[in-house]
Amino acid sequence: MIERSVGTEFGSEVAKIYLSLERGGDVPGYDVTSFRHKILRVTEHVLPDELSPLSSDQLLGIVSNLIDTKDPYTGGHSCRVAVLAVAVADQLGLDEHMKVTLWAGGYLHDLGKLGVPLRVLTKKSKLTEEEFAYIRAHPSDGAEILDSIPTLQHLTTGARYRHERWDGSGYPEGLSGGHIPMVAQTMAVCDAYDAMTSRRAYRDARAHAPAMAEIARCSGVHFGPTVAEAFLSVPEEAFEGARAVELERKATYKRERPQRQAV
Amino acid sequence: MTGRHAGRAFNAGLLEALTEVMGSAKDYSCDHGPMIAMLSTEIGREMGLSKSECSQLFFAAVLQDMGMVDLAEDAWENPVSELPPGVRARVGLHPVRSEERIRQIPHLEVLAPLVRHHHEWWDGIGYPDGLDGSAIPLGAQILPLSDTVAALR
Repeated sequence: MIERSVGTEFGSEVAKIYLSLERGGDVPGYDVTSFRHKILRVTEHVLPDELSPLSSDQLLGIVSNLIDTKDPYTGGHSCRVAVLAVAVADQLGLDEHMKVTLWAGGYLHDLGKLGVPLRVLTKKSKLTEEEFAYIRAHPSDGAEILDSIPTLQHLTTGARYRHERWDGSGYPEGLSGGHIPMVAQTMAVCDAYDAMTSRRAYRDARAHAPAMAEIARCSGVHFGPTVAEAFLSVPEEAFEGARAVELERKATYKRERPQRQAV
Repeated sequence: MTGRHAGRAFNAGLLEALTEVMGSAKDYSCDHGPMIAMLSTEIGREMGLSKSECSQLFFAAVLQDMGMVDLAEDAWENPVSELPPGVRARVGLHPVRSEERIRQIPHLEVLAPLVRHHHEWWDGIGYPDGLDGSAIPLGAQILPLSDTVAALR
């Protein structure tokens, strides 16, 4: 197959190297152990040279950027949730370990969204039962990816349970009250606030004050009362910080757009 | 913020998540992305590329289709020739859109040429620029071959 495309699709030099690998039985197959081993080696020889390693924050940015790309209405969402979640953790007096978990978890919480068809994410009218099944499954899908990677397993809880509600009416498991892990409760409030204050396919964005009023109203119903109270006491600067992330994104988008139309 | 996270193992985990994410966005079998990445670096190593260049190849393999993530599923799932013209044009632009995104990520600008040219053909009929022969960056010659091999296995 490769041989037939040499000189048309592929250059002979690259093809020759591949074919010699193939003959020697040295074409790497996929197994998770050798793949992990490879990734460790790759991250060691970092880009663009050994002096400036990609930081974890940059990698988190790349992954969340990709997640947010999937849904045109949620640009910058993952990063804003991370910023807000840490601000709430400050109010709650959570320890450093929890804060770091919320930070990275905030970035990655929507991982499962990539498996939801675009037609469902951008639908303007009411979802059918089949379409809503995708939405209900996305926290577990994302959690499964995180759970399969040993060094990200601690981020699983937030991703899996952040759509649970205090009164038990949430998904995927219908947990209620204190059974919902604190990390997930915290992410739930931040996720809801950011969703309310962003535009969606089916509605416009709400302003800050009405969104805060809604959080207060849903305390003890959707949200844990302690976490909701902590959220309502987050200082204004933290919200400004989260919004700045959005403004930066818009500026980037504007720079990018004329080019796209010209092509 | 992730100071405490900033270990190699955590970064490696993130990179693995990224590979999985690209795979699930494309709805490929789960080992397609890892296969392309591993085979590309292996070919690169055999061709005498440096460790750092091989790492770049690995990242480029994972990220080459970033510009496809926000296309509707039918663009992923059907042969290009069967797509409506508008969708086909957007698929044709995906290397350029991937490149635009890559250029916005600190430290990854270096991947831009590999990502832009991963659908060029040796004889010059590929896209987006119709480069031919050795005008195509070496890494961008390796990526499509790995993609074909991974798809065939």
